[in-house]
Amino acid sequence: MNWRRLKYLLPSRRRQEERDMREELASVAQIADPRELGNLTLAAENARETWGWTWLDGVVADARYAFRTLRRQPGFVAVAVLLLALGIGANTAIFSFADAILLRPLPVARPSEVLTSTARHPTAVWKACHTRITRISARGAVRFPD
Amino acid sequence: MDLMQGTLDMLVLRTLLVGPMHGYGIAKAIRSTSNEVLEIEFGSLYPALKRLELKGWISSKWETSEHSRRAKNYRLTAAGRSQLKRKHSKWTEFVDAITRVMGPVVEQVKG
Repeated sequence: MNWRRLKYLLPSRRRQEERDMREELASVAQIADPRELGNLTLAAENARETWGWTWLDGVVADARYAFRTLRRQPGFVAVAVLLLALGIGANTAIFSFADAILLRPLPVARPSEVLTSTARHPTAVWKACHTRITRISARGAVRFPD
Repeated sequence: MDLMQGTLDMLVLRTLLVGPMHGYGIAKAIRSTSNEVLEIEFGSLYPALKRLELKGWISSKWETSEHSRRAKNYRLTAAGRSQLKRKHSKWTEFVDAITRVMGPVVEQVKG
């Protein structure tokens, strides 16, 4: 990558270079036999390519064309935007749910000490836990009797 | 005659060694120095000039000639001069190699 090309990113710089090129080609056309000159339009085109941003011009032109086309079809744009909004919204909602439930540790002090119980009554739950846990180690690991 | 890009660059740099010249002048100089064998159109030379300028090997400036005509003159830069030296020695090496391989063509004697 030639650093000198960077200055051609500025549209004002490109316009100035374009004017300069037109002037130069015109000055040469005044003194030369047209047969000796060859295709000047092609020459200008190839010279622009050495500046190295013709792909960017293409992208900008495409974007402008797309914008003009879309402005003529507001119904299509509305439906497309609505579908995108619904799609992105639904995905975000499902992900935040799955993230909270499955991925993140539970929001309690020592999540590894949390037990699940199949007992329904609070007292039964307490008993089940109390009798089955023999020891809670300092690191918080829960051991069950064999 | 078709020229490879690198060869055209070398010819332009060598031509500008004589002194600053406008684009059309460079094309004419190459044509006449080569006895009209290398017919370089200004149209194909122009992008090469812009490329060389971008590489910093030549620089350009608007100047008014003695006929009070404005023309963009190109001149060799210091970087262009050393680039020409490099290209020139490579070129000599290349020509020598080809010359050794080709040699004179001798008619084969049937016997």
